Amino acid sequence: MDHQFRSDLRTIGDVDEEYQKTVEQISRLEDRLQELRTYRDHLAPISRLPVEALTEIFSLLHEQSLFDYQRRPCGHVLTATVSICRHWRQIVISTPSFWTHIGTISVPWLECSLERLKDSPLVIDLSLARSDQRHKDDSRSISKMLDILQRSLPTIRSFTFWASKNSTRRLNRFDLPGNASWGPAPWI
Amino acid sequence: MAAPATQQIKIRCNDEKEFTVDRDVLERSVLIKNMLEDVTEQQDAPIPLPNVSGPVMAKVLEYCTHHRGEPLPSADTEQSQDETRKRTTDISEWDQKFITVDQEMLFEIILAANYLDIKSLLDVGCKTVANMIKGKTPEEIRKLFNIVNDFTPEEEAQIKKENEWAEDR
Repeated sequence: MDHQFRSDLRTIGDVDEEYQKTVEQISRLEDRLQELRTYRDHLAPISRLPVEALTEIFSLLHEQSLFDYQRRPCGHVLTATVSICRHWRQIVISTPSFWTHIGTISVPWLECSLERLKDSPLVIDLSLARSDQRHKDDSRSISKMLDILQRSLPTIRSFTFWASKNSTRRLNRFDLPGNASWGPAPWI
Repeated sequence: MAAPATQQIKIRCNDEKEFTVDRDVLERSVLIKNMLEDVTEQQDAPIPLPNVSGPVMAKVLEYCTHHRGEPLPSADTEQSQDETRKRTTDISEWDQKFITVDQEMLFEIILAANYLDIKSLLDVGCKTVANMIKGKTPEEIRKLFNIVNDFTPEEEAQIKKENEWAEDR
């Protein structure tokens, strides 16, 4: 009986070890697969284009999207191009001019953009939501955004609030940080 | 008085294919223009172009011949265009027809335009690729260019988060 028990324990130990080895092997294979995918992308015909040409292509798309939205920037072109593959993502992330327009009321998005735009001048276009609940959330977020902007002191080219007639009145409720001072940055 | 005969220049591609072309056509390429300006004496030896193949050069020359005589973009015009920042991806009808080629050739033309420094042709190529991307989802773009998603699960999670932050409401 005792002998049987010890034998079973050994079997369980073997299975555990085998399981651990298999998990590690899967992880190694997944890493290798990801490397091979990157290599495969590197061989795709479009990857022969120099970084400057791809940057120009993304730039055209980005500018077009700003133009299409009547100067109300939207992130969809950026979010599409950064979601394709590592190579494209690297190009978009390391090009400051793609991060100079903030069109979304989002604190983490502002932080993310500030990190990537380096010293380029920032253009902020924000639209307040119409619903009361969203409006309160937006006001809180905008307050935080202003706080961040004040702390990081980026060069601001323009700051525009886009609001419907109803929400224009509510803009007055919005409190600017007391010691906000960005010098010549125009408030439109 | 008879018009002066147009100088003919010989070029040789990386597949040994040679072309004899009017100088003003070739001078659409800033690279070749500068090379020709540096050469004071008449040379019979063809100009070697080690980065361009014969079939691609034939397409490039088709473009240069069509646009011969047009003013070359100067640094000033490029700068003023940068300032207005309202570039579109519109392409003229002739250029559109010219650039209707398979992807392989399209990218070769862009590479050649970049190497030969033909700004207007590079613009047409880049605009064409931009138009191919416009309005497509990431998956459609990957399929179009034969790219696969090579992100790690951690990168995927970061992208998902960023997409939510950037979402235009």
